[in-house]
Amino acid sequence: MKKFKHVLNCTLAHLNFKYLIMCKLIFLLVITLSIQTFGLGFGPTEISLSLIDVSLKEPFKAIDAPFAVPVRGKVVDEEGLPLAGVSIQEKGKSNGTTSKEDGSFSLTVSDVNAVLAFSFVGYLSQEIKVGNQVLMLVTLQPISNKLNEVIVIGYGTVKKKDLTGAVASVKMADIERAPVKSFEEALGGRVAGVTATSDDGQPGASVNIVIRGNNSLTQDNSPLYVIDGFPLENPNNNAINPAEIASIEILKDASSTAIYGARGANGVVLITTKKGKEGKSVINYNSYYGFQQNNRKMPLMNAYEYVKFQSERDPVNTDSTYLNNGRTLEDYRNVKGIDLQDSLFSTSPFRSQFLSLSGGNKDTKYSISGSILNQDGILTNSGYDRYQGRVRLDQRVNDHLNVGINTNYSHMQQYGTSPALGGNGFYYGNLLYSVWAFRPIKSGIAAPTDVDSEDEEFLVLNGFNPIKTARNEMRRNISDVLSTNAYIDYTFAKYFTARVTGGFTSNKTRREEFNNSQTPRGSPLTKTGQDNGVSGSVIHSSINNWVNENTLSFNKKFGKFHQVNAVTGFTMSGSSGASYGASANHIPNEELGISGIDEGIPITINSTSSNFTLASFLGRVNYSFRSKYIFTASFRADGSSKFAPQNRWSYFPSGAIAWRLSDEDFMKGLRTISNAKIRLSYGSTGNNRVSDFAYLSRISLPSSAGYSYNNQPVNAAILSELGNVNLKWETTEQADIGLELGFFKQRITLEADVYRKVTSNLLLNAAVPGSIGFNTAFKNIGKVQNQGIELTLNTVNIKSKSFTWNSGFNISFNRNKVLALSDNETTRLTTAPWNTYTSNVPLYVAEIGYPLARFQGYLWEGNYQYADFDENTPGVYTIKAEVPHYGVRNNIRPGDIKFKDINGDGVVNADDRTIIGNPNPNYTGGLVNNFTYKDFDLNIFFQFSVGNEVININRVIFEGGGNINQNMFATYIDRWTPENQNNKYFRAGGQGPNDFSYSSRVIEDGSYLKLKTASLGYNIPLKHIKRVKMTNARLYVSVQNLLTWTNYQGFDPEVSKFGSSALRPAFDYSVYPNARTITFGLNVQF
Amino acid sequence: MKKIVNSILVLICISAISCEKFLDTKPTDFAVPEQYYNTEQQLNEALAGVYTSLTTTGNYGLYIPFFYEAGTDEMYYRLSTLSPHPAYYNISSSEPRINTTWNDLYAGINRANNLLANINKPTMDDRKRKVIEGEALFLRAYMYYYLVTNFGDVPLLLRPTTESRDVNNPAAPSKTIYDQVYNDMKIAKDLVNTYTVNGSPVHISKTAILGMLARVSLKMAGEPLMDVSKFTDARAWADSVIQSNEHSLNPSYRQIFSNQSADVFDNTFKEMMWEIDFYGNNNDALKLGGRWSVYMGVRNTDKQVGYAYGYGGATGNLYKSYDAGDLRRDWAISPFNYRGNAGDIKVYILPTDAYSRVVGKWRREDETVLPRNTEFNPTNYPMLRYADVLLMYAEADNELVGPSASAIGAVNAVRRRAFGLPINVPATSVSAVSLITLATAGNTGYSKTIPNIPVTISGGGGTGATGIASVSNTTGKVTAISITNPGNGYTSVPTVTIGSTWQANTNYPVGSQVFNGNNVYTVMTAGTTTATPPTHTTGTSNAAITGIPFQYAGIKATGIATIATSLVDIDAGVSAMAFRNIIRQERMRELCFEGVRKNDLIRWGIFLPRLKEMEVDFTANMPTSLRYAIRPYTNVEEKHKLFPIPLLELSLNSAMQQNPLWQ
Repeated sequence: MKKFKHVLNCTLAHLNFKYLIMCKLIFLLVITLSIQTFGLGFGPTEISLSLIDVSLKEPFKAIDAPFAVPVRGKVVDEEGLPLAGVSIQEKGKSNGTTSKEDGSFSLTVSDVNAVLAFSFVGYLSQEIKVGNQVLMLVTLQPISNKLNEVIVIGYGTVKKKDLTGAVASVKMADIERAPVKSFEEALGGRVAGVTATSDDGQPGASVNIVIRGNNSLTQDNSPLYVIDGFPLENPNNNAINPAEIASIEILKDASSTAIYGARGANGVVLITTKKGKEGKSVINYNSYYGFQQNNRKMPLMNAYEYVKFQSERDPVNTDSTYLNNGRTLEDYRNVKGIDLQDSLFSTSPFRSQFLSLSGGNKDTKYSISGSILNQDGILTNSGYDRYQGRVRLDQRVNDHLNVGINTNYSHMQQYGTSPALGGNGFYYGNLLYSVWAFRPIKSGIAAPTDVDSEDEEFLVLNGFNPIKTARNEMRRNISDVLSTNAYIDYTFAKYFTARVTGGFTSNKTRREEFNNSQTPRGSPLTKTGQDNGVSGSVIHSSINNWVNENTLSFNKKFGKFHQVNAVTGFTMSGSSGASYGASANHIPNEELGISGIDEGIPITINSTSSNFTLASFLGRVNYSFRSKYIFTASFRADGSSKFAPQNRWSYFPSGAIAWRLSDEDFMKGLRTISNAKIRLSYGSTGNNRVSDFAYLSRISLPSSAGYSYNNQPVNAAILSELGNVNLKWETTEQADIGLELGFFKQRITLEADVYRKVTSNLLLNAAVPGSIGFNTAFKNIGKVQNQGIELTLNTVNIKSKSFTWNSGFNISFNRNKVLALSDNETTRLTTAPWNTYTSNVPLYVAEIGYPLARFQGYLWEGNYQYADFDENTPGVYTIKAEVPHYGVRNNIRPGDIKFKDINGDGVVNADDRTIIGNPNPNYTGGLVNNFTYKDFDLNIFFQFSVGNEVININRVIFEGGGNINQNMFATYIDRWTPENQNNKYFRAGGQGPNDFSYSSRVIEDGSYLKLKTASLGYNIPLKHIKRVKMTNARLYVSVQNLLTWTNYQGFDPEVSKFGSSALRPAFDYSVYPNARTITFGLNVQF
Repeated sequence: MKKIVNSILVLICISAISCEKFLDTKPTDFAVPEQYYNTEQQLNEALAGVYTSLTTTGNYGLYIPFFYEAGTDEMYYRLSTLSPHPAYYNISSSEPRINTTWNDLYAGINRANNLLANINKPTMDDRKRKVIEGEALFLRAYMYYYLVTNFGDVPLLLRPTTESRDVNNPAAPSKTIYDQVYNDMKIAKDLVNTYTVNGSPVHISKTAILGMLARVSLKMAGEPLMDVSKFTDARAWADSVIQSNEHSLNPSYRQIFSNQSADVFDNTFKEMMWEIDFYGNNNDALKLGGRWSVYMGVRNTDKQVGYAYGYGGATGNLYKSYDAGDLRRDWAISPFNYRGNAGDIKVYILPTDAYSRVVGKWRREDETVLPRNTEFNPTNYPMLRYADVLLMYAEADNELVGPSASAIGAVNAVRRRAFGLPINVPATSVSAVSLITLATAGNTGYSKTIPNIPVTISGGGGTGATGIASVSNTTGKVTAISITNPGNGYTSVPTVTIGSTWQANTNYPVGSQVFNGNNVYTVMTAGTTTATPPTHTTGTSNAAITGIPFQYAGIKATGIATIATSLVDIDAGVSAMAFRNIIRQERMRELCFEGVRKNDLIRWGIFLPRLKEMEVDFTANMPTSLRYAIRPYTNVEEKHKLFPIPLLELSLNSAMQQNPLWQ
């Protein structure tokens, strides 16, 4: 204060101002400067800092004074924090100085027209005319990829340069360019170490986000989400409109996740929504309209090829069906057949409207927004709708007290049949089977014109009319998600802030299914339909989560060099869930739909409920010495109701060190290097993703168990689960070494991380010997390791007044392997439930020393050729004794598929199965380029994945397998015939045993490069829009999934029919194809 | 400042104290074992849990009655896929079905163990408690009996599993397990109710346990224990059933199985002593149907009649083992297929065709629960029948003292019923129609829309024989004649008449067919005949003369009967060896597809040689389309007397070893 008085006196004296005139100004100055000087770090100080500029200008009128002028001032960063060491030079003169520790400087310049040049490493240089300013306040803006960017971390924020952990910020500006309904859909390839893959292209399909590899074999591997400070394990991320997200940070290493203790092991995604800014009200309206189209149609055989194939597969039938009445194969040459893909898939609209109003003054800030999104699926009668609104209010009550509330409500509806589901364990039960299998012509050369009347055609193939299925099968998920958070911040005693938050999220879903008489499950034409008749079910479920967090933080600088920042807290949270529902068969009046299930025969009544609670103590200390040596230590104690009392509490410590080499004297000489930092961290985190009462044994009376005494059925009590009172936390220990480099004043930045994490005491739904009366039980058993390297490179390639070009590239290499399984277990086998023939044949293997999942099956060796046979009688081929065979020796013919007899016993059987593929990629990543040219901007984003393999089961069925009268993929035209002896595709009918489906033949390289997002915008120049009071207007076109370069033969190599299961990845059969989305939009701001 | 910090710390401390309470959540959706078994009701629910473990697909729902019993000299799995299957004897220790059965049986054992450990917990009528205890004890013993007979040495766990860590349990020697089974059953028999009190063969009864004790004793007397002293026990247990007078043979063999399909309990004769009660068509809240008979039964894809897969192939060996006039043959083995494998039109199989038939013992047309489900049905599975007890008695007695009058009497009772004769009246033999063949001449013009026409058998000195003829819907010819009743008392070849003969003054519906002389006529308009029969051999008769217009259709088919005499009662002078063989054959004829054959062959020590005989038989006689069915008999080895211990068990239970046959 003394200093301030001095400055004031000095200034007043010099300028001869009347004190009275200044009354108002002084008051302002007192406030602002005191905040600057003493209030730093205690809340939103930037409010007042901008005030001073405005207030200063008017009263200090220009004075002509052509003589040397003493100038005093202060240099601050964009947050108002003082910047020391800033070089200040009078332009064209030799006099200069540097700013002091508190950012202040003083300098005498030649006259009032002098121009001062401010420069500082990592900040944009600035030139300011001294003019009438005598107390200059200079705010330096950091250059892009700013070191002073504030990063949100668990229970606090930190400057990028002071960060000790591996935390990645998602560039929301890039994400916003993608025409998608949730941030998840645009996240893939954006951040090193983070994979986001969708199951398939169904609107609303879940996206599996995995950070640094799968930790758990049987349990959920998705990260913890912290949305505006509210930790949630499985939120509905579709409920958040990406346009409302201010920032997404991804915490990857143990140092940053350990503060979330028990739930941090899979990584943490921190989402912060936008809040109002001080200033006038801003209205933002963004609307786009577009369409989606099917990326890829599977090429099928045409009429001619189909008949040719049939004549090889079943000559007798072909002669009587297709080649009767004097017709020959040639007659089919130009017959136009039918391809049902044209009927099932269509270009469909995609619309979104977003309107927001935000603004505020220094005390109150608000943001209100709402959106409507309608996404019709490319598959008939499927789609996704969302209606959403948000209100956020932040209020400064007084100097000490800030409060706020943030509420979001979303109503969502996902509807339509799902091709990947509904197979019922038969390959012909899936929707796309019937689409591809449909023969292009019937007997005679006429193609069917009305697919509706062709039910019989599908039934012959054991399928069902897919057009009718899509139109009639009612599958609907309706969700209502309400989440609300409130906080109170209280700052006191200069360095302390106490924060109390409370949050509540309610997620209600209603799942409706209805199978009318035109659907495979309700039609009298099918086996299920005959048994069940028209059937339907409805299940309501709700999950309520609440949290209360109480933290106390401390931030103080001791002396010149010691900065201490600490937080401690206590949190409590809980969750309760319940679901109930009913289903009925033989519903008499199908017109009533779901409302009519009460008239049917009741089948199952669902009713479940559960709950859990979690209490935690947490603490973290950051200590920074000269901003060069930074230490972080964190600790969390978690108590979870999911474990028995003796194992309830667990403790998760972590520590990290960062060293900013670039601030060392020996580095200062290297002008090209603007930043260099080494980070080291180690810590342990936990996982409690296990059912709420897994430690307890269970007796239940399920509808599947009962016994009928004398035709009087009674419920039976069965021991359904074996508890384990010794169950405890799964622990992940992770070490991370990071290197951050910046060159040419941060125009090029490079971030590299090497990590290893070992997850032990896996919460494993472990196999137990059947003799104890159970098949599985939760145990803390098994160990998994993930290790990898991540690189992120950001560059400003060109920066000129009218043209800029920025690039961001990231790549990650993750290797996971199993270190231990259940007692005595060396491998764990997993089957894929898609077809009854292979229901007992394991496809996936988790083996100690190898990745969590690899494909297992037969090694494909092409086809048996004539050379493998003896022709003792002309035309009769007998396989040579030394040539291995499968099944019955006499039945094998030239052109039949051939597999390797690995053990050399002459017979190919289950013993000859081996590893045939690895679904884990060698590396994944992305490349984003941003261009601006005058008023145009262009964003192009590529995503890639290399080395991952996919099992394309579609080819098992549609390249010579399946049913006799079904159509095949066009690739199968090149099959083995006596005229076309090859090793590519076996002869018609030579597919070998059904349970040999898993072979290296259908393992494909799933590497891809996708031009995932492209967006071109035009910002209408201000002069044109000023008249209508607009401040910004942008017209744009955005495209998602524009192009894919891959050798993969299916719809899309990014596929997982079995969802997020770590043990069953990369399986492709009858999935919903990914759509290409093209939208045209307008974004205006008033 | 300090104050504030302090007060926050105090707050945290208070929170911490209430923390444990806060974290002490309780499940709201299920019970934990420690808080269960508190009431009589809960004990009954737990007992139902033990019973229901027998109904799973892995147990008697499908695998045990069918998959594990196919591949004997009476039944084979009629499906040509190459995948490993227990019925093909080409499985390994990783066979998932065997693993499922293992798991399901042990799950049931653990349920029984839990129930037995908590049996004294509730306050209740002690008599009722004893009954529950006895049933649980028996069921556990029965499941161990199945395990030890099929897997050899297995872990013998008699206490509830409470900890997931108790995984390494060594196998107990078979002898120990048999003794445990035997002793538990002995205790249980005095705790449970009698059949009469139970009122049905569903709850296990005292006599049923006595019968099972006979079965266990016979097994212990045979392979692998060869404890011949057990024959005495076997005879005693079987005799105690006979002496109880609770049970007798149902005069109608087929009725026993029709009852099972129709979910009817025969409480008059009570021949069925214990059965597994499957229930409903799985269209109820509780889904308690079984699948085994859907898999075995005559193939049909029409759910109105009853969906069935037709996988239960009956061997020619079984078919041929029946003597002429034995009514069991054409019930146990289906004499017909359904036309086109759909609908209710039966196409009878040529009587000479012994090798292409399937199981017919349980017929879906007998089911009364409608609509019929395509996968599950309510047909109950027979676990023990009085006929079995009689045969066991005879077998044990013969092994002890040779053919005694009481032993022969027991077998005779079974045989007399088989021929449809009174059980208590001695019967030396029956003379029955054994075969009807079709003459090649004639046989034209039968209506393609009438699939089956009656066959009357007259003269020959006998009575009762009837037949039915199948007509092809494509050729209009009679294709096969089945004897629906072989009759008795035939001393000479009877006359076979196919179809209905023209009758005067009779009302005929349009489309019906009659014959007069050798000519077959079709009724063109419904109406009543005059006294003048049609005799024309072309065109349509004048309605004014014949009453209704008869259209000449073709020439009548002729059937030629063969008769045969079969001995019914066993000759009192039969040798012990011959009697033993008779009993062994009789057991197959009487009890085929009821889940005892494989174990019978094993305990008699003839499993492998008998199955290798089947290989020879199949090679010589199987029609080409069914040649694949030879496979199990080619594959079978000595080791298949037991299942392998599941690989999963071996890999997770380090104290367990593979049984020696499979090492």
